[in-house]
Formats: sequence, C-alpha cells, structure tokens
Amino acid sequence: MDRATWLTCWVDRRETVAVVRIRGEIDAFTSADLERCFAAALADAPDQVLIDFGEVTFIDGSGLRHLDRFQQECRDRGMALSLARPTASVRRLLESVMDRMLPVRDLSCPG
Amino acid sequence: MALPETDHPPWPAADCVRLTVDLVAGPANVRTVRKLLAAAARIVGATDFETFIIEVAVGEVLVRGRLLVRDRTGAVTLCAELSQSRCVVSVSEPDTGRQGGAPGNDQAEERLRWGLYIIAQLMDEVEIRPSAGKGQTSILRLVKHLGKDRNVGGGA
Repeated sequence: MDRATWLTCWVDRRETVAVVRIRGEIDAFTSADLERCFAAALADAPDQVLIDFGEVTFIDGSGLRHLDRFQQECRDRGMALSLARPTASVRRLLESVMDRMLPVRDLSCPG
Repeated sequence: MALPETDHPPWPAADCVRLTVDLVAGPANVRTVRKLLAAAARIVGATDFETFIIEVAVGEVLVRGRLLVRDRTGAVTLCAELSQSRCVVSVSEPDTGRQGGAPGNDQAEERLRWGLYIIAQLMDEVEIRPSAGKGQTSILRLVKHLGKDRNVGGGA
C-alpha cells in the first residue's frame, strides 16, 4: 500500500463502457474520492458502468452508501451498472446490505 | 518470604482476547483500531468474512462520533471481548453536556442512519444506551456470534 494514499480510483473508458477502477480501502475518510470518481464515470453518458472491485481491500458504510446512491443514479439514467472481481468478503457484504445486489461480470466482457 | 499478591486479575484463557482502547476518533486512530479488532478476531479463529464484518462494524461505530454534534471531542473508549463463540464491542463516549444529539445537516443525518443500518445488518445484537445527562456516558454495544458459517466455506 502506497503510504501516501489509502485509496486510488480512476475511470477507464472502453467504447460505451466506463470502467471504474478502485484500489485500496474505501472508508469514511476516502469515500469522497469514490463519489467524485463515480461522477466522472457518468460524465460522457456511457451505456454501461463497470466497477472493478478486484483491488478493494475494505469498504465501510460510507462506501456502501455511495455505491447505493450511484446504483440509483445509474438506474435513473437507464445505464447498466455491474461489478467485477469483488472478493468473497466484499461480495457477501454487498449481498447482506444492498437492497438489490449488483450483477457481477467478467472484467473482460462487461456486456 | 511470601511474594506480595498482585493487583492484576488472572490472565484470561488463551482463546479469549480482551481490549480496552481510549482514542480520539481521527482517521489514523479509527483505521488502527478497526484493524486491531480484525486482528483480534483472527486470533480467536474468526473466518475471513466474520473478521471483515467486525472490522466494518467497528469502523462504523468509531466514525459515528465524528459525525455527531459539533463540540464533540471524538474521544471514545472501546472495550472488546472476543472468544471463539462471539465478539462483543462496546464504545462509550462521555457526555460533556455540550452535545445536542443532532448533526445539524441532512447529509450527516443520512450518513448516521445508514451507518446504523449497516451495523444492524451485520451484527447479531445492537444496543444503544444514550447518555442520561452531563457526566454520564452514551454506549453503543455490538455483539457478533462467531462460528456460524465455519462449516459453509466462510473464508474469503
């Protein structure tokens, strides 16, 4: 873990798919960065958004809240939202607290 | 010559961890303490997922102090007792007489509600004992029964 950053997130674009890449820990002190990244993902109105959870080692209530709100926003905009590579613990956490669990897709085939 | 009796209680059983931590709930301290509790959970044999949700819940409880009323110092005491069968965490905060109970903005209130919802979803028991007044303490107590998913591939 880079000592300077607990969380790194950015958006990759593949044609009509925005891939949100996240690395590190999403907690109350880093989740604002995640929120900004989510907003950036929507900037070009993609058809789909895929959130790569492969390198997320921790997510707390603030991260889950931003994810929940982002899920709602994507739904309101008619955009498909899915996850890729969540760890088993993150996946079980999401299944425990989300009203509607997001689909999990292969990172290489988001469609 | 007889040795003086110790003032310390007997050492607990090796499969039981008891911790008391006084902290001010800043980012470094919150992260440290939630990871400390996660390490303690692993030591008593919690599964990966049990450890994960204990860390999440402890983090939520500690962060609450930062979201509540202005003038809170964020100084809290966390007491934890972990065994193979359960994890009990209590976080207490002294009432200095300056807290009003309301964060003062909608976003923080929503965040508080969401945090409580998360805690309630993850823990088996949640108890909130508000302060009775200045000089008293408010206590948030969480209990997670461990070992329920050890036979169903609970590891991450």
